[in-house]
Amino acid sequence: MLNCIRIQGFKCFQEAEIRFSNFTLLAGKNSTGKSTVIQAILALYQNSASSLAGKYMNIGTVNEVKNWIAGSKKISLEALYDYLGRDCSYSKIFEDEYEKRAGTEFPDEINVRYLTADRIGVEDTYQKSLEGKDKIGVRCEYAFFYLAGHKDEEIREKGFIYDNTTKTTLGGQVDYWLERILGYRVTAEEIPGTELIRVSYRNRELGRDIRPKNVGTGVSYIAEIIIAAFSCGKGDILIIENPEIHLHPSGQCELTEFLIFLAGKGLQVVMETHSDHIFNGLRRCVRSDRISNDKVRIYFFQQNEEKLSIPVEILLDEDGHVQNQQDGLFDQIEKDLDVILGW
Amino acid sequence: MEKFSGNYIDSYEKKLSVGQIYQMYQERKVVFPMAPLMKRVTKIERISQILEIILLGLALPAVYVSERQNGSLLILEADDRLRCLIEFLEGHYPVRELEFYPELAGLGIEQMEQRFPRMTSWLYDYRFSFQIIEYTTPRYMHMQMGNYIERWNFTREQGIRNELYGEDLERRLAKLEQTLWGFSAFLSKVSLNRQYMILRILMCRFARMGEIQEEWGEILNLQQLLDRTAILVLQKDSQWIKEISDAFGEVTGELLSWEMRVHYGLEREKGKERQAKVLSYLYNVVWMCQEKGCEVQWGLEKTAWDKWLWKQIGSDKVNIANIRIHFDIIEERLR
Repeated sequence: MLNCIRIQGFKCFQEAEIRFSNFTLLAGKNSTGKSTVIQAILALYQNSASSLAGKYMNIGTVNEVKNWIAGSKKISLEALYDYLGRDCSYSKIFEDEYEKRAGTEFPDEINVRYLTADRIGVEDTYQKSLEGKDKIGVRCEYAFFYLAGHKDEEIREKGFIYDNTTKTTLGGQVDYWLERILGYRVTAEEIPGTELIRVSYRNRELGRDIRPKNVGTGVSYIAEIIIAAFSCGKGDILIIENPEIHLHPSGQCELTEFLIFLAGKGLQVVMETHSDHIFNGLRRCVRSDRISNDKVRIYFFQQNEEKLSIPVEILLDEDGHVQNQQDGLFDQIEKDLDVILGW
Repeated sequence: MEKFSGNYIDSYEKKLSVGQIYQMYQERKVVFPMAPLMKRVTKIERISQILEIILLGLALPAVYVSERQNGSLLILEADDRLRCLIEFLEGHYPVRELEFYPELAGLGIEQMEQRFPRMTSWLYDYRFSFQIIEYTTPRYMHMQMGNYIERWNFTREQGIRNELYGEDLERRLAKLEQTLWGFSAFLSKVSLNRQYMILRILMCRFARMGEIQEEWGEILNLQQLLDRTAILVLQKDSQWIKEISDAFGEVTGELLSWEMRVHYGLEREKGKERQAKVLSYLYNVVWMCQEKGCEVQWGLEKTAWDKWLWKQIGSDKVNIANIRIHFDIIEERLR
């Protein structure tokens, strides 16, 4: 499990330490450093020639991403994680265009699945990956290819099976959650003789296949997240940016329950969000004992007068109550109501 | 997807080639409920027919399939067509002389592959249409298939039930069935058929004793009642299994001695619906006599020869209300 990331001189951070748990939520206004934390994880995880440009992300050169407000000369990133009961650390120091690596690299067994906010969304057909059946893609562009290839197989991580009444295959578990969250089931199949995957949805009330463009946009987006989550195993890290895209509040809440369920079973979830429904969904899960408050970490990012980002850890008690409410932490509805009600 | 009694029937179609089906069979992803009960010559005849149909490129009817929790597919066919084809692919049987392909006469799959590779590839590429009843469909609806489409006999139905409800049910029923070995000449010799009869007898017992209840407005049909019975059997502990096993042995003894004395005809229509009805009530008559402390042979005499009662039982649909009415009448007769 990834326990901590230490950041120095990287983008909006002069110095920061973010601690992670089974479920970590990153919140805050735009451009306050949520994505930068995710980029720091990815820069440490991707070991291409330049850690800033690889299969997960390409954010340019060291000079572009140094903290120019504080005049940082170098960038330092360090991850503390445990693997097989051992405490490990891995760091990268970027200076000019040089990169120095030290410590123990993330082992291959820890798989990082990163889903960018710019996910592929609704298509009638999706491409197959040329790199094999196990690829999802950061935009989830191969999620349905993954489903088509594995839907009849028993789910990779047995612990992720919801309960003993649900089907133990990938397709069965994806259908269970998609139906629970949005009332649809999904079918993905290769179109013979092409490099394409056809996707259709079914709704019990209608009793017929419906093409993706004729169901709500959120259905495709949520299906991609569910498939991607089930492609992970225990000990893997799932990083999701803005899972709330195109989702109704109730769907956001149910999606949070789904991810909390997996987090409770050993998948480490790191999520960036602007949604108070996800935030409250998480609090609800703590309140209803779906997850204990010590397995949850919430960071709220603020900027100081110099426009440097400051992460503030938000504490929840056992009932899901916020212990240290901050100005701007999902309080817009209250501010709006004050105006609307004339208080 | 259709709705029945508040439950949904989920199904979808999938086309699978013979090669894929065979591979899935080897990986236990395609399973059959029972070994086909047919003679070698009949099997060869069936293999030859299906092979000829495939080589001629004709379409075969859809194969109904039950999806299991782990995604494996339980074949529900009643005529063992696919099963026979698999046995041919395993090299167990040759084909007889075919009308359109006489050159294949007497060949097994290995010889066919060597001498007629093109024809063999046609065979492996031929696609069956599987109509898959999804796991999320209630199990009794999978069983209802036998009535609607496939026309199963009780032996096949019980084989399918054992696969769907899991090894535990089969183990429990097999244990009860074993107690009847040797002194239940009126029952079929086929284990699965006897297991079905035991389930029917227990169904009547549970209905009579109120262990199976209907919700307000609910009318349980035979398959739903058998579903509830199977679930109850699975919930019972080992002590209950032992006690009911002893009870079965004792009642069977009573029925056998009564049969030998009066020649009622318990063996009539062995393994079929009439026998299922007769036995499920008469076993319960014996249990009722024991509960009331009245003489068993007298109780059997009072009820078994009641033509009006048996006409009612024969013509009424099997449901919980009717079962209760029948037992009320039996109760009257035993006063």
